[in-house]
Amino acid sequence: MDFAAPELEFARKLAANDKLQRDRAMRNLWRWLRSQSSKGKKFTQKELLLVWKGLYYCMWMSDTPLAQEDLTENIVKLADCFESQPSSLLSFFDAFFQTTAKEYSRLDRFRLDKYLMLTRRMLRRILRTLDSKGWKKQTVRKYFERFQHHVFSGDETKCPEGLQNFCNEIFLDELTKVLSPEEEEEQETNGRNKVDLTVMWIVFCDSVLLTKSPFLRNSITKNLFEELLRHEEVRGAVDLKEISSYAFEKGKDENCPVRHRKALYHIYSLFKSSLGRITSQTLKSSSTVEETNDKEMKNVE
Amino acid sequence: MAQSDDVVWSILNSAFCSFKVVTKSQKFCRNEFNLTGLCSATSCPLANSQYATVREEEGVIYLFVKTIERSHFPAKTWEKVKLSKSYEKALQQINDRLIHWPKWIRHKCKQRMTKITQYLITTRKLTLKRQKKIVPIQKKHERRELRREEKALRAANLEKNIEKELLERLKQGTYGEIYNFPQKVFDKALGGLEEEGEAEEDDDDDEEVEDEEEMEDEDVGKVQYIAADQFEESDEEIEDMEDAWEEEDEAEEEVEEEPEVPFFKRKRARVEVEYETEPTTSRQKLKH
Repeated sequence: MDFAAPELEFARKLAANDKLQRDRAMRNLWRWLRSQSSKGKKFTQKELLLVWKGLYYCMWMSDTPLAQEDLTENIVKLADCFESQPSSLLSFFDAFFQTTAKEYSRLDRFRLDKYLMLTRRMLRRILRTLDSKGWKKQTVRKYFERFQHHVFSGDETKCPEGLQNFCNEIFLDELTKVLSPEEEEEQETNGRNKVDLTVMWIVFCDSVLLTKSPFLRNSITKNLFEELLRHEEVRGAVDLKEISSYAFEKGKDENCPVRHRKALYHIYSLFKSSLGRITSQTLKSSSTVEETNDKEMKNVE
Repeated sequence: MAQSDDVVWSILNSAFCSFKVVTKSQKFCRNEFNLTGLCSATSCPLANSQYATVREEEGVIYLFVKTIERSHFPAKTWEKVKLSKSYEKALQQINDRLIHWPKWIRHKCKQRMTKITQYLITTRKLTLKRQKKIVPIQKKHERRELRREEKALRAANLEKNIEKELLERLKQGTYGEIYNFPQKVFDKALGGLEEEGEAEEDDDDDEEVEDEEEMEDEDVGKVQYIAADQFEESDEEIEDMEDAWEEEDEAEEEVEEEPEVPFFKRKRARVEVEYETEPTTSRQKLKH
């Protein structure tokens, strides 16, 4: 490792004892990131992990709720520096989740609050970024497949259960916050593409399939799928039919373990009944498909 | 750190703590930052990295807050927040400062603040109330003084009587012509005899005094600057004058000592006050 790397120097300064030094380092980091990315430098995952280590411990040292909130705001603002570098931006978000996942188990209960606040704000920032890019299917898939390596993986060895559960819990709230002002805008302009978030839930279905922890499986089904039906704004942007059929297809697989199949079928039946309630008349044609699905489900069980 | 908190408490609780006081019914804590004064895991200021307490310093109430982020700065561990004098505002301050803190700590801080406010009010009342000053009666001293007084009185009487008796004898000529009297007493006795002759001179003296008084009246309103030396001289003059009066008085009262002393002293004292003020003022001028 290059010990003269500027990232390392920043990490050192960011974790200083003195608040003044930390603030100064934060300002310098912002300037440096902005100038580097405007020059066209692409940050590697390794470099950003170093930066995030510094930011994490900057947060670790910061005292009093107000200072913590300010720092959180400043950290989130760092994402603006990568506006011209989409791959660096994704790496920046990814490095955040990686760092938090790595350090989470060493966190004590007194410091937990500020890190959860940081996680919440970062998640909001990520969703805002996706929102500004118009929720392109490709971008959303790219993002969430990256996050599937840790926070939405359902694998407790990659990311602590607590952090994953927290992300699951706040996900729909944050998504609603990001989507709801836009909907008003949409009504005004009328010319905007309809947001399609189905890809996200397809990825979450995979998470259900991958997880080995009953707690996380339960958390995902409850916080991401069951809650989805309660959030009107988000439900409108999701193709419930596609998700339910995807879940069914995955659960139908012979290699699928029984518990995972149960969870996936639960999702399927939930979405189906919800669909029936919403569009009992308009979706009569699709009911035949669902009936056949039901038959198949019974056969498999 | 949360983990080290548990370790610290297990040591303090089971092993030794210098602040711990064990009584039959309960364990107490002598640490001045303890919130409740009890020895327990929740109220131990050493075994909690997040802690708050209320303390009073010279009549002012402060909120002391300790957080885990400053645990590596022993000098900055406690954040001291001055609480408002108004009780309601102080409560609000505690609420604001300890927002999101455990309810137990917030509640105990408020309780402690209430108690401190109450005792401060009581202290103020007690100090404002008029207090009796106790003075010891020194009986022994008083008795001794009384005895001395009596003795002195008796002695004085004796002396006077003897003097009178001796004078009588002198007049009568009991001892013949040659005496070895002390010169002073002899002069005194002579003064008594020359009473009549001096009475004539009195008139002249009075006139002189009147003249002087007239002179003084003329001087009223004039500003005079007198050097310290000059003043001394004039003082001497007055003293001389007084000596003269003294002699007259002695003659009038026929060798009675007692009344003349206070008269002489009073006069002299009044003059001396003026004399002494002069050098002090000049010293002040020098300073300026």
